Amino acid sequence: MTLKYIFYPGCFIPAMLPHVEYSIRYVLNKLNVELQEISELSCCPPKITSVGDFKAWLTISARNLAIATKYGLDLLTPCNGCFESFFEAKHFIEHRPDLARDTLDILKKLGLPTKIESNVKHFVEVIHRDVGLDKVSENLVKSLSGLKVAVHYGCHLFVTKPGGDVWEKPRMMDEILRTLGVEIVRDGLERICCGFVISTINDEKAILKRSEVRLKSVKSLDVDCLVTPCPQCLIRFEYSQIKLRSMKKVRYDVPVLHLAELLAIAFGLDPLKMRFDRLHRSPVKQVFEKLVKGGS
Amino acid sequence: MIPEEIPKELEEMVCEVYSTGPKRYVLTLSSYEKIREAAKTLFNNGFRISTITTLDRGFYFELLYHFVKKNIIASIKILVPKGENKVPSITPIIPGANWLEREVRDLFGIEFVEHPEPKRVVLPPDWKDKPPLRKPVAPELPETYANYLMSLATKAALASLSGLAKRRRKQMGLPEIVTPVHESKEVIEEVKKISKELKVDRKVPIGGE
Repeated sequence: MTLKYIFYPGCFIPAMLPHVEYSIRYVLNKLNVELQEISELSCCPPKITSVGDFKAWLTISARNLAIATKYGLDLLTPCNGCFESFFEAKHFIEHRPDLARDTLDILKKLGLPTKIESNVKHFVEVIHRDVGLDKVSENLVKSLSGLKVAVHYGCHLFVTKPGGDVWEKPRMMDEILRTLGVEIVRDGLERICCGFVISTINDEKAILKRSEVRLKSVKSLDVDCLVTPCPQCLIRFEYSQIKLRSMKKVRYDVPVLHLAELLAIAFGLDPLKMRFDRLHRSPVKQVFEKLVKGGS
Repeated sequence: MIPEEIPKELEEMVCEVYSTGPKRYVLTLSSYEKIREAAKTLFNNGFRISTITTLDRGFYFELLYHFVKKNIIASIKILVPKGENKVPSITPIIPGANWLEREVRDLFGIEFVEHPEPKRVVLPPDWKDKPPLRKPVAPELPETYANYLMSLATKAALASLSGLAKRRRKQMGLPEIVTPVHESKEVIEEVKKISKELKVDRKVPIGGE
């Protein structure tokens, strides 16, 4: 059976991380996942916009979910921020009629369904739960054994229903990585914020109090790279390393990769041929070389 | 919608009503230009003007005209964009509003059109600085959130594809148009419409119709 979703890559991946989008599409294609692309959707928008206007955030997010409902499909997003926004918007629509009244009125006026049936699914969930690890194993053309990584899940991968298992999706990511043959090395700082949201208020604080704390720890782990399923974490850890060179004359040189890149490499993609290393802002070339030359 | 203690004629001028306590109502007019008509209606129905309070909301002013009749307080709220900076004076209808409007004029620099005596009342005649309670034109929200909200309401996205991003996408064979950074006119208009309906334009400027 072919799985089909509305593809919602978010803003950051298409605008800043084309190599990640390429990898995601490559992986999903290999796994026979069909992506429907529709042009009616707007920005998710990120939950942080609710600080400016809660109703605007909820209504614009619910509009996207209502359009997905109209198509009868779930949304697939590889962006932690978009995931959080849609997940929480659906929760508010279903459980807080007092806050959702105006939103539902507007959806009605726009001729959209007011009963939101579509769900949002993170890339990690789709790979692990919907596709399944057996199918991932079937598609492996290269084992990544020998690769030691630290992981950074991104805060919003922990978003779940009230009382739900916040570690469910992070565990899924670990299991995906282990299926590829990757060894995960822990430092206990996997849940620290990368600093992305804080950087919108105070960039220096975000770098010194968040990104650097994690980078320093990862550096001491003696791993090949840091892996994340979140575009914002990827951008932040790469950018912070550049900034730290000028701010503190400190070099961490921690390669930062997206989970989809590792999956794509394991499924046969050559990142050097695709010149992914030129699109990264951290020294990933050595990792790519190790992966391309090594493995089976 | 209009409470029974308030003249029914206001119904057509008001876009929002809420109560802050027993016999205490706040009625927002759909346009600041209707203030004179609203004041006249209240005045003719036995209400007297108590005072006018003003808040500088960054890129618009919020004026509250507090009317009283026995134990009923009706506050008429109008929102005046700083770009407009003028309000019809109610002094020609209610002479008691004379000094109240002049005080607002002195402190915030708002002009009251057709005020019979537009002279200073609070500030000294030789005051040369800006009106002391007037803030620079700026969104009320912290800059980051205001920018997010404005981007969302005007572009339906927080990021857009730069020329470099478009070239890279093309080189990699990625689709030229991708949700949600597609810059679709229809989507932008719909999001703008939603934002206007939810009065986001009171917090950040999002442009005309």
